[in-house]
Amino acid sequence: MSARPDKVLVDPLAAEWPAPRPELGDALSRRINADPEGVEQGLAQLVLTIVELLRQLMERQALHRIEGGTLDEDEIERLGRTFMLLEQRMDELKDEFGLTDRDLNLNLGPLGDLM
Amino acid sequence: MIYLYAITEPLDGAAGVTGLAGARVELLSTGGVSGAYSAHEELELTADPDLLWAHEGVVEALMARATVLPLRFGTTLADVAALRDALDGGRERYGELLQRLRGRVELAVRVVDASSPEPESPGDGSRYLADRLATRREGRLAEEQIHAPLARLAAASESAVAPAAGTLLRGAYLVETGEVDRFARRVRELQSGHPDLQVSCTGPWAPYSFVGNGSA
Amino acid sequence: MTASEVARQQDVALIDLVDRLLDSGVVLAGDITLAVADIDLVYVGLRALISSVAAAEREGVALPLR
Repeated sequence: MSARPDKVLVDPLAAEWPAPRPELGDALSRRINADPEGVEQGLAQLVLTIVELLRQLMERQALHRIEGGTLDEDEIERLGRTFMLLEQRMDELKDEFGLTDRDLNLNLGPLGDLM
Repeated sequence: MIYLYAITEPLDGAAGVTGLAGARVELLSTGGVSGAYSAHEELELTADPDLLWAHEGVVEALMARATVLPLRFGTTLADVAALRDALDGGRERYGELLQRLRGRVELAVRVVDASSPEPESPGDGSRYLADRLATRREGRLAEEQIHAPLARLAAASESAVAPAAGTLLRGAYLVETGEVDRFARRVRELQSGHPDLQVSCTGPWAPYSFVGNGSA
Repeated sequence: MTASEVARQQDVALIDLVDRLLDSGVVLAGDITLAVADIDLVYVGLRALISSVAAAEREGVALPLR
């Protein structure tokens, strides 16, 4: 018995609904098969966090500049394509190391969360 | 090996519920907390909806009896001794969390923009950024118009703007058990007030989003 | 409820279930804490970077993107 529609308190009006995340199959089994010491995964987590952070910062900057009208069409096109590819690549890397978005948001203790 | 479901306020006796692979759920009590687990020779763990609901079923059965800190799906330990170590090691932190979460449940809200179709495979770069811009703007609006009023009804809340393609806003709310109906009514009110948005609310869930970000 | 309404509600519940069970909840074994001193410095450095970028954004300063 799987389905539990009784968990739905407020039903959206839309006939369509975003499909469950694609990670559903892969991320978990990768995490379980990860290296027992967890060293490799720990390093991957650190590296991907930095990359993800920079990606977000740069994307925010680009959007800021588009809003400010300081980028021409060519630049917007080039940036957009690069960010698309980066996002794709990040998804692949996250999958590979069994890391989710929450894993990439490191907690710095008194400094709060990284992102 | 043992599979873990939750850390709870001290509970006696059997859990009275079966978990993954039909295994009986046991309780280990130590130092003011209990750990709920089931023992397995081997266990195939995949992110299968049936297994996820089985895990959730155990968590909710426990929730009916005591305050619960739900474990992330897929947690296994070598044996009960390892569980005892983990519980003893985190005793203070778990005790604090249990106190903070007593009598409260988590409700999930999601706002989706049903009008714009999901972008198919890579369009051009400009379209990508334009979409991102629009989604973030709409997400921030949803945060003001949907999340903020709901946060006022909750003891604690979290929100994420444009967390994934197609979703404008995702919110998690910690509310008193007795306040669930009122919260759901408010969500419906907000939905009627914003026919351009698609709002869903599910729950009650165990407080997955309010147990800190991990680490025993 | 029609069959398709049930199916949609199952999806609605499932996506929130997955968000919770796979992404949240208490995490026990398997946490990696890189507690080496110089790694800590990297963390702090990143935080300072975000703060300064956020401040620059507020001031309306465009940062070079190249």
